[in-house]
Amino acid sequence: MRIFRKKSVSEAEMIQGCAAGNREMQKLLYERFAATMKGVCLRYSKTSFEAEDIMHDAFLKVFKNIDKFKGDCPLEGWVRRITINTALSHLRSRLHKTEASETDELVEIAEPETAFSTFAAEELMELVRSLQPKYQAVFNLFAIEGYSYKEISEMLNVPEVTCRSHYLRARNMLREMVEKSNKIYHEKIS
Amino acid sequence: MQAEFRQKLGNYQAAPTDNLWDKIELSLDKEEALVYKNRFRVYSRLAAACLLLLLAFSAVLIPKELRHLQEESAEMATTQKPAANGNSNAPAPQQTENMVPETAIASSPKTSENALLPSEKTARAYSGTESAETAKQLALNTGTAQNANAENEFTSKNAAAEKTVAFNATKVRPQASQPGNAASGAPQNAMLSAAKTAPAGIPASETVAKVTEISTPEVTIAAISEPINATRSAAPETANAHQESAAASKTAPSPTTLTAQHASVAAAFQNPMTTAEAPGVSKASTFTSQNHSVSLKKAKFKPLPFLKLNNPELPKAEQGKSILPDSNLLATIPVPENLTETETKEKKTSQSGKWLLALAYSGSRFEAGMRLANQVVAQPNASLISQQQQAENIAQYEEAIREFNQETRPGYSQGGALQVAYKLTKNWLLQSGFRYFRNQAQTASHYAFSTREVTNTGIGSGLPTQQHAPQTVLETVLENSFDPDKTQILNTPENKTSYVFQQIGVPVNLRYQTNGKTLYYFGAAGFTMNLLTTAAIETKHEQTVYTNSRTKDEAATMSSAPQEQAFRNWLPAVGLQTGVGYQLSQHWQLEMALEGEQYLKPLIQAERTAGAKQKNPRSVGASLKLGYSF
Repeated sequence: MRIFRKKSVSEAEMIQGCAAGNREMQKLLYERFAATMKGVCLRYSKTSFEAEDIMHDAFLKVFKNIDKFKGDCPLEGWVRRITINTALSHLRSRLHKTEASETDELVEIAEPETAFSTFAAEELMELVRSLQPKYQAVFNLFAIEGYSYKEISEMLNVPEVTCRSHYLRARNMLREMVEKSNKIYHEKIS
Repeated sequence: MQAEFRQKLGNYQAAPTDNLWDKIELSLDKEEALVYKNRFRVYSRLAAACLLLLLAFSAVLIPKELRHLQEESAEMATTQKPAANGNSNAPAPQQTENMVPETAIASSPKTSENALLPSEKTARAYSGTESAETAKQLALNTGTAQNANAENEFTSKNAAAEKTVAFNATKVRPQASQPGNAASGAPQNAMLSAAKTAPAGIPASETVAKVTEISTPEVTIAAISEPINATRSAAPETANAHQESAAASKTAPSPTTLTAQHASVAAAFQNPMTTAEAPGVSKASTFTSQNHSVSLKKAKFKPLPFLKLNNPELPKAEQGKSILPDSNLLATIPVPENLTETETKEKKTSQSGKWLLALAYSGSRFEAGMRLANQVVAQPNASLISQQQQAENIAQYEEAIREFNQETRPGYSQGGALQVAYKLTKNWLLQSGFRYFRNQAQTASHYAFSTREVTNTGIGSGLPTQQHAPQTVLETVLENSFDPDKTQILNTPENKTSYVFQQIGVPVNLRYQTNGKTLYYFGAAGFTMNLLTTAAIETKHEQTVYTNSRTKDEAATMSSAPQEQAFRNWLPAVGLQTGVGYQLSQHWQLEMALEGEQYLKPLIQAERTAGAKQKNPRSVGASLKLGYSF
């Protein structure tokens, strides 16, 4: 009796297969990065549906452009970058729907550090997703992805000072939300 | 804080839904199909363009004259009827008019052998003409085949000249019937033919004399076949030939020769194209000039182009001499009585059908190409509980949009048109007119949206006081009226929503049609400028019947962004049409066609609210047209 074993596929083979349009290889790549990319998409979206829409578009772009992947960076980083760019383009299409533009003045308020350590990842995710799109994008890019303000300003095509302002506003909003939820929690307990 | 978020969310993972890969796979398949579709579209357009170019070139490059002659030849061949055989007794002149040899050129071996001029004189006679080499070949090879080949070498170029020759020969005939001039012993047809072949530099009389010396009565037939080849020579030679033929004809020999002469003249009279097309028949002919008996057949003479005599080149060639024979000769020329009538009729026919007025009815499947996208996001300032509710509402809204994009199908569309066409050439027409279309698309939907209106003043402020009629997803999107906090989403049983687009348009088409007498085929390509007059969205619920019919103007006023109109006013389109027509009578015709139209712009203009992934509408259908030409 022959035992069939699943053949392990190297990253290079997978890339080559995807470039050739091999559906099995494409599925393999999807399965390898789907969970991580869903996490990324969730941070840039408001709903799970939207996150999957972004993910859908992002993977289509990945498969379409994988022949351009030169291998000078990790594949995951390349896929992540495409996913982030797709999420940002989704975000841009929504930006005109948001409220009137606010002044880009720097609002640096020295406040005591809020303890986020008590929050689980899911709760933090919910907090981030509740931010307005433009703050959400800047916060994600700066605080989580680690991009500099300059890079973010280029990615979002906004001035650097605006990025800084948006990040500070996002941070303050998160603090307020945490404090509010803490307050509700304490009231319920008392 | 930054580190906290990065640590917890940097590598955050969540399992995607099971059907996400299926969706991606489907999209990949669609993209692949689209690539093939685009490629096919490019190839099909190229093929259509090539076909149109080919048709255009064929219409331009094929000379009208050739087509006319071919038609004439075909008609002639069909109208020939067997008649009583002619014999050595010379028929009466009137009969002779309608009598031709069974074949235009008798090329039986015996005749050909003797008839072909073996000497270089013939070649000389040919020299200076386009067919000099052919003539030489004929002179050297006295076989039958050459005769036939020479005949086959005819082209449309010499068709006019042949007619001239034939005409000259006809004029000669009555004179030839004068007896008593048979002293020369050579049939005047030989002289006639030889004279025709005389180049400009050689006096025709000389040629005639030489030919006469060596000719035998059998020459008659071949002598006709040769000049036909030589008719490529310019008109002057023909004119000279005419004179010489007239002169030679006075030496008409005995009555027996006369019969042969009649036959040969008649043979020359007949369009040689017919013979060229059927050389086999020619060889099998019973024409034997040796016995001076000719098998004759009745034939309907086609009208001769008398205008050939008016060729401006002729007087020059005559060098001051009149190109016409004397008045007696002219008086005896048999002219078919119906000549002028036929010409006039043809002229009238060609002029009568220049304009075409038509009424058309079309039925088609109209694909509207509307694609919606969600542009609404949850309000961030709302409470967490409210946000959850908003997210659910938005998710349902997105589902409704997805359903619209997937379930919208082409509906039956119909329209009418009043068309005017002008005949540019025999085959090409330019069409225009006015048309009205009622295009339709349908969606089977499970969602409806209701917006509560809240009063903010007076008693009961803050309570819902009024509720709008439920809206379809298209209306909700176009009017940007979806509020994740306020809009109620109604999950309804499947109900059909119809989208009706009424438009008027002015098409301009270029059309090619074949020349069939009763049935003809046509193809047309063109451009249409359409104006959308009304866009209505109509729904009929299974339980509660309601109709939402809102025009684009109303939609525009209700829209939160009134500066952006929901639907586009002007919709340019390109179209292709092919079909078959039936000529009911001289003026009336009935046509059936398959037609396709591709719009060049999407129907929805409000891309900011509806999404930018709009597709251009298109329709495929059939039409029935009743036309009147005048």
